[in-house]
Amino acid sequence: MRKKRLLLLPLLAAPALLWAQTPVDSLAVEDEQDAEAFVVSDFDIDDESPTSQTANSVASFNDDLFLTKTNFRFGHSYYNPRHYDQGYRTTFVNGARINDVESGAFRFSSVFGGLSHASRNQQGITAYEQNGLNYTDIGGGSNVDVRASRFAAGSRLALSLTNRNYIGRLQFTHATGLTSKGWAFVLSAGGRYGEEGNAKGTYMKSAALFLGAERVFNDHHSLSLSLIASPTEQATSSWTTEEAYWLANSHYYNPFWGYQNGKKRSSRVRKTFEPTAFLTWDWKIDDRTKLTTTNIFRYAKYGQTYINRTNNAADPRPDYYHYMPSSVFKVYQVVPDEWQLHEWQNYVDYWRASEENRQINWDKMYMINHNSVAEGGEAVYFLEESHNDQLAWNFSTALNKVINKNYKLDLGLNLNHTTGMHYKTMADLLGSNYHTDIDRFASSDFGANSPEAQNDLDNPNRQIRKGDKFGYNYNIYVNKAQLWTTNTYVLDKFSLILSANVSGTTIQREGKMRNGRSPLHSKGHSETAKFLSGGAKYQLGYTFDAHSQINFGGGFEYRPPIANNAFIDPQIKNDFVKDLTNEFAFHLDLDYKFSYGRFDGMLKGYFTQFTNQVEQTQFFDDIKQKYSYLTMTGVEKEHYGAELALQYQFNTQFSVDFVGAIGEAKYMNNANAFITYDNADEVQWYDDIHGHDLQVITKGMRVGCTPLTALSLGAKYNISGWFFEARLNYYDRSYIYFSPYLRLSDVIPDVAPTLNEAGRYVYSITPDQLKYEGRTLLNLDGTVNRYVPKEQEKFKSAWMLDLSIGKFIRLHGGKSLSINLNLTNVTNNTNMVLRGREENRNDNTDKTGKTKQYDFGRNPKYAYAYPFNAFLNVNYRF
Amino acid sequence: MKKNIIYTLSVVAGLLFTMLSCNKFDYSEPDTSHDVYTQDKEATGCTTTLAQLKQNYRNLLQGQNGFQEVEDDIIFDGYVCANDITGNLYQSIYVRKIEKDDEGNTVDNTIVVGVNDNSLWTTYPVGTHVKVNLKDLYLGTYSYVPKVGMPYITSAGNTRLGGMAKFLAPKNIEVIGFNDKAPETVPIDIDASWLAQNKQDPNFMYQWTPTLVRVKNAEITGNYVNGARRTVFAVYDDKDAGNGVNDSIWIDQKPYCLRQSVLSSFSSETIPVGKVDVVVVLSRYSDWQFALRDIKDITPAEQQ
Repeated sequence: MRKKRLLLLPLLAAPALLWAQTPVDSLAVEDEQDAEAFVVSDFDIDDESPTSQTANSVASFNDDLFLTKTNFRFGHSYYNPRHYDQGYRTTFVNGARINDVESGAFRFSSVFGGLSHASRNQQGITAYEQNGLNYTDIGGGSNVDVRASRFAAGSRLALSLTNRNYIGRLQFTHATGLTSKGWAFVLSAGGRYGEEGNAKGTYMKSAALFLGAERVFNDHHSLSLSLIASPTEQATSSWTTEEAYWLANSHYYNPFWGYQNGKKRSSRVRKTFEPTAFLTWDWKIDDRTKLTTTNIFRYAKYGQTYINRTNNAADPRPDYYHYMPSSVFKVYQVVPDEWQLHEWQNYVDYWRASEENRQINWDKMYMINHNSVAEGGEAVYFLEESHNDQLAWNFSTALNKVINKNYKLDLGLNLNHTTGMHYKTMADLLGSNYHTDIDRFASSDFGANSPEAQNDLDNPNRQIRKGDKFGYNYNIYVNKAQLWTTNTYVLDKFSLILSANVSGTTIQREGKMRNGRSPLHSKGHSETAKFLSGGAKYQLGYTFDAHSQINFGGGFEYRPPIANNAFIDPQIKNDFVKDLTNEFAFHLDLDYKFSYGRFDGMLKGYFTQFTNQVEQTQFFDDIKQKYSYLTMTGVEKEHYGAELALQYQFNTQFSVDFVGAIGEAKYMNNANAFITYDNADEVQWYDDIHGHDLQVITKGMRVGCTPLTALSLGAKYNISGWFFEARLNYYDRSYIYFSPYLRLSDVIPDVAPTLNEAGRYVYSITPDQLKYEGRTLLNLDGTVNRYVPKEQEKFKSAWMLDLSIGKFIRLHGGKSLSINLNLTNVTNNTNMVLRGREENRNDNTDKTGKTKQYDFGRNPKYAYAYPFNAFLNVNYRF
Repeated sequence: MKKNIIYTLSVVAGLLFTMLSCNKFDYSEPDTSHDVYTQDKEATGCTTTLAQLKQNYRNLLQGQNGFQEVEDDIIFDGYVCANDITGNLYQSIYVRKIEKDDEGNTVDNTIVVGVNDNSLWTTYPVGTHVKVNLKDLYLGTYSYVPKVGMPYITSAGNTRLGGMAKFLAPKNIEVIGFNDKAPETVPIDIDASWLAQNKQDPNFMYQWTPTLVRVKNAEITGNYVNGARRTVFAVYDDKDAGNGVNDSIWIDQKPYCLRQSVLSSFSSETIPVGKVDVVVVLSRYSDWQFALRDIKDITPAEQQ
């Protein structure tokens, strides 16, 4: 590892010999942007498209042909540029960072959902460029400008129809522009609605409102206030196993819903509401100096419903593994006896007999609850809602100073205080009167009357009614302060951008309930974890001539862990993850841009190394019969690859382009592993219990569910106000999210060797065993020779054809009408696996210690790409 | 004019926002008042009674382990007197019927109906009136206890009578009503002499195992583990191959096996000290064997 880093140092150092300048001839790119924005439509940013979690799905990148082309084109494949987690991409609004400090990411659709007009002034930012706004993470990001004066005067009315998560959308926007009195106002409002989305049992209803006012006092000062809110309620669809899809005869089978009184009802309803205010003061101190200060106040409400049950009630999920035919016998390994075959067929027949059989049976749950009430009992089934609310204040101030014609200085300060509020409430008692607040797993372990079963020891056996908080209730407090600077030097053909930042972060938990499994560590404030972090980066550019330019970038970053990974069992305890420390990222970047007449292009290469990362997963341990938390620390990953964008303009009407990204994103070491169980007051680290270090055999695993190979060939044609575009996209090397549990060094099954005639070890293992289970290869003395973990599944490669047709009609009086139709997955490829995950479940034994029939290792859960779908947008400007 | 349009559209947009924000999808609560679980009715369409069934298959049901496929519609009714509500009785409901035989005598029979499913108690709570159709199922015994189900092959290679496939249950076990005051839900009182008297009577056994019984002035003790009596019902680490532990129920100073599943919801509860009255399911393994439905069935003894 160290050797590789040393080898790469010349890449860091060599560019220092060069001096660069001159950004690009961006004219062609700007033209491209307009056309792109027209053809893409508003759909991609406010729909729940895969990239809607990030801001820059339609952000334009002035200087980056590759990102401009790919940021929406590969969106439906869950392609992540360079395969970084979302937390490495930064979203700014009016220059202030808005990423959620608990998860690191930003849910773009929660704030700007349904308001594509409001987020239209969006600018993509690459990791190294001088943006004058803020310090950007290594994944780049985007800035949304919501100042009222930035909206062109006039009105827009947009009507959209689609067959994805919703059916229709209406959006109206009116902006005054900057008036002669120095005021600017903007209003945008609308809504999205779909009684049933593309998947059965889903729906969406969403309203959206954006209000902005700006006062330009004089040439030096202006103040902008923008308010935004987009309450959304959405019933979601589920990932499930291939077996369930087969039984339902559809890759869009959704087990989350069922009939109640003959009406479809979903068990997974997500509600988001993030009213946010942006207050920005722009102070032009002089012609060379500018200060931009933005405050963001955000109150985020996020809730998601789940069905829960008492300890001894059947699991209501129709695709629960006990209900699958493959739970009858080991279908992949043994020939069944006649009774097993009979039973298996019985399961299959039941699944296929009617749709009701494979959906949630709400009426039955009500009936069972009514029975319980009649007997004086409580809810057997109930619908709970888990909440992850947040109150966040972000402050950002940035000073931009042009020192001289060769040197620009940017200085900034970011502050953040966030209170994350995590709890669950009773959403629906399903016909019963109350639920007793005890934990069903602990009840099974310690008895229903034990103190351990109590979720709130201070209010034992509390009867929970609709709307009550129960189960868990805690706050996470995060404070961050960051100082940054960017120094931009330009000299002839050379340019150098040097940026650095230093930050401090504190993380603390406050438990609101004294949990029976951890009475001494659950209620009250935890200790405060403090992290001093920071980093530096550079980009050195050299412009060969008017046609080509090369940039070298690189840097390092110490990043604090995200709060979501900081605690070992945040729902219960105040305890931090062991050895929690800053993670480290080291990165290099090289890009070459050219523009020769009709031919533009860009070639990029990158290398990023992460060390000391923390990842966490929680699951029910079948063997221990305990709810468990597995934390991986010391994770090392490397991301590297090449990116290419080419465009040829045959004439003003017709162009073709190609973009491609081929990369790697893999784990480079075996991570340290710690398991804790939520029924112990003192933290029990797995290695303490077992007396030896535990590892997750992650080396060689890939980052999941993003195609490491993504290619696209496109063609555009426009004539007389008509726009046509075709895009043929190809995806390959997308891997499943792997299960850390199944790759624990103590969970991978052992195999002992024998010696052959040549004295070499021979292991008796079938290829299937290696592929689906993995093996720990032992030496003759029983020590470990080598771990061969379960193979990480690679999804099949896939093609997808998208088409766009648009018409722009200029009307009299400066009015215009644009009509745009996007057709996605035109060939209706219904077999493209987009995402999948292995389950953290043991394949060997069930809770009784018997050999388990169901094979979790061969039954991961998948989600498929949408079938053919269309989006029609009609936009009237007046 | 344009201002009016903008004003109108702004109002429309505001109304749309308000409407979509406030609109809730409403799911009316299913009406279960007509449900079979709130009332009882006569069983119709039965082709036999539980007593006749046992009599007809007497030889089969007196064996230790055996079974026979039923190809015809043999239908009888009964009331659920025990189920898997705590998980201690595993994947089974106990169907009981008290009725008059041809000679006018009152006969009381119970049979185990096995289903390869958990949480049967939610569908078949105690008091549920069911009609069981044996067609395509198997009738026999599991360790001398009469049972309805389907065969399976044990890990040791033996064929035994287990539960029916879970998705057969709705078809073969029809719920026709509910009466938690039915006499079938009331245990019979037994004592040590009753047990001694009937212990070796094969005619008696096939009729009376299993049976819901009440024992008065009993005492429950955990078995010895490392020299001391266990004070909770069952501990996972003490389990045998059948995922159970054998505690003792003392009846008239004589200990009998009280079988506990380590997976029952009360396995971690403390065993009550002193004399108790207890309702248990009586069955047989090598000797009499008792099993709790629920620890709620244990109450302080009425007379010490």
